[in-house]
Amino acid sequence: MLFNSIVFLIFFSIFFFLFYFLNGTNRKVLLFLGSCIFYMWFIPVYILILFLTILIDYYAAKKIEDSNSPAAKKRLLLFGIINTCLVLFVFKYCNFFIDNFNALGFHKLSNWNIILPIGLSFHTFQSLSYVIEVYRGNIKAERNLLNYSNFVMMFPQLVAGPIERANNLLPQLKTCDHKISYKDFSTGFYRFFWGLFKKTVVADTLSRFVDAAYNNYQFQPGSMLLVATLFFSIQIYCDFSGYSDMAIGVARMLGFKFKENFTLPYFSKSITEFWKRWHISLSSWLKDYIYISLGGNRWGKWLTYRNVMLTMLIGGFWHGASWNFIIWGGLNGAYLSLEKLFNLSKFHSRNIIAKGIRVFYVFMLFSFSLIFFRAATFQQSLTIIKAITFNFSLHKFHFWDLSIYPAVLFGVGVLFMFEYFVLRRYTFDELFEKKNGVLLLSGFTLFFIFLILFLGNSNGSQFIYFQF
Amino acid sequence: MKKILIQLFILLTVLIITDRVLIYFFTEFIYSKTISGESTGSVNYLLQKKKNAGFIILGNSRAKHQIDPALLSNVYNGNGFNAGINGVGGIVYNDILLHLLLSKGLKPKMIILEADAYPYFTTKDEIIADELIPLYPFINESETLRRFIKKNTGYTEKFKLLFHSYRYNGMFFRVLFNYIKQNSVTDNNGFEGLQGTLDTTGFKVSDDLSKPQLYSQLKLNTLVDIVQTCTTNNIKLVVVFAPSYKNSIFLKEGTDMMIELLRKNGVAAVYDFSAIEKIPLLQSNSMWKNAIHLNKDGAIIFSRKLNEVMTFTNK
Repeated sequence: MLFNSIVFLIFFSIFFFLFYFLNGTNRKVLLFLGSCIFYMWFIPVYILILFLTILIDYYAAKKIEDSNSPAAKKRLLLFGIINTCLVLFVFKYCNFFIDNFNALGFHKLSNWNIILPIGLSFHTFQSLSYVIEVYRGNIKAERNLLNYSNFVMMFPQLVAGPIERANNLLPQLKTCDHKISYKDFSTGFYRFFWGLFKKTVVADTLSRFVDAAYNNYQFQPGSMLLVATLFFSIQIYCDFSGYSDMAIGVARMLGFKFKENFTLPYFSKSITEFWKRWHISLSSWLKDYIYISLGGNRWGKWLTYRNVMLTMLIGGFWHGASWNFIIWGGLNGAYLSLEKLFNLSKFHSRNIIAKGIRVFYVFMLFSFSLIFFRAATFQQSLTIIKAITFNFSLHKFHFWDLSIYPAVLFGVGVLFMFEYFVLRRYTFDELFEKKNGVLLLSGFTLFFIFLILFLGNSNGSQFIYFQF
Repeated sequence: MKKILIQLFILLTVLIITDRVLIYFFTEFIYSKTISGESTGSVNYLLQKKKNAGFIILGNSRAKHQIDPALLSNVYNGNGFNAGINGVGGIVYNDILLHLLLSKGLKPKMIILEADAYPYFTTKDEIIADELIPLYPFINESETLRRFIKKNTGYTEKFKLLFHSYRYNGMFFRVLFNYIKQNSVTDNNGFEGLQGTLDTTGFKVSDDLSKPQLYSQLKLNTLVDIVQTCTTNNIKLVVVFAPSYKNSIFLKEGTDMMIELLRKNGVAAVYDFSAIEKIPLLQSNSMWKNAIHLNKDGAIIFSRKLNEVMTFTNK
């Protein structure tokens, strides 16, 4: 079920009222059933995979806590990690390894004809973090399977994050007796429409241009491909952060508080800062469970660079089973390492021009890496980079459908203004608390709804991160 | 809960009132004065400025860019209007447009319908929203449009249409742009010749066309409805099948099936040029903008050929 569909609107309207009036275990059962329906709307049978990972990690964590021997705890942790990763491997990475094995010329293995279960990478990472935290003794193992299932399956974050941590979400799910306040509902409601605006007005409009350019990249001059790449940077931000806004908004309407997943990343003045503000739930996951486990910055600068690179390569591979994602991760790892090497992230200036240049440099570097993210193959990425570098041909730039540009300019303009003048200073909660805050937020929301009606893509298109 | 419900109620009320007021003013003062562009501005132009057109050409981009009414001098002295539309001018769109024109008192003596077998094959019979959306601004005036929406779109579309703003979804800036330039719109007949020549490097006719096709019953029924509407209103209907470069979208079986259907329903004037060999002059790539659209030179040849064969219709 997509957030940007009428089906979801109907589903959520019914769900909200039932959830509001129930409490305790009934609420938990409703949340579980609602999440099952939400997930099964895609491919029903794949819910069994979800149940499997839930059961593996639920029991692994319980046994870890019950065990007295450190060796047994470690074995159980490995059991949980390996089995959860195995599910991920079978459904997501198996064909990648088969392709590479075949490419080496040893044997001809045939690919698995399998569709990737939606949101698999998200909920497996969420499960893994839980088992690791129990092993580290940071949280208690959950003894109620329903609570734990809701933690992994809770529908607002089930298919594309944010990857919630057990210490934040599990306590909220345990009692499930909270009263949904007017503030919870309102801020969630406003947040949802802000996300919907980003997705349907900005991301989906930009995707028309980006898809047209990238799908026919061989025939495009470098100028077209450059614009398409820069547009893609904005598209993916609005698509993914739009989803996160909607997820956080939906959860908040139900009285749950999720962690932030994006905090205006394109205003970052260094790549290091950027990765603290982009897909925060994943970058913090990678930092806590990969980077720190590898030693972090404890053993000298060269090992720190190695750890950064490895973490980012794994982060890239998490996104998708292809060399392009690995390269994308590697490029960002290299940016981070170089920034550390030259101490660039520590450089501060009050000068607005210097700040602007730094914001531009971050945007351009990240956009460059996104060529590998968006292109279907490595060869395609290289052709695009070659065209941008050696065949720019500005005079060959063709505008296609002119109607895209006013909508793009207007959509991106509204996005920038709202982020720069409003969200850079206040959160939705802070705005709500201000004098006339409700009125102001209602006004913004009505404005966004009109923009959605006038300019929004009405087809309910999928979110980019669903494929991961 | 009470507070939440009150808030939702107020928001919804303000939304609906603003929606109605905004769209009323937008329609009255901006949209109705827009007489150019593909966001139904050209339909407004036809309704407001071409009420006395002798004939109207209906179809998609292959009608719009390939048939110049001015060159059909043997047909009502070329007094016609090309109402073809890029991208979405399938048979459903044309049927709704025809009914709309008639309901608005625009009754031409002849309809020239450019039809291709290609857009008629589909397995997704019911998905026709793309053809309806461009005419949403006329939803109040078109009973046919409302009927198609009711029967052939899902509940999602019906829900969205509760908001009048949605009628202009994706058109807002285009309408504004064309509204601003309304005074610079010169007298025209709707035809737009395309510049440029087809680059044949790597050109290949798709293998898909050799596979058996499924034809949409909904669209075939709509074609019959156009025939019947013309008959009822005493309008002469001429159906033209246009060629494509190297027959890249020529479906013989489908074309024959459609011609048979048209003949069965009493349409005598069917001009089938779907096989490129019938107009040898158009076989050169210099006549084509791309594989399915003639350029301006090609359109002149094609229009003259039509003029030649349609001489009788003036009698």
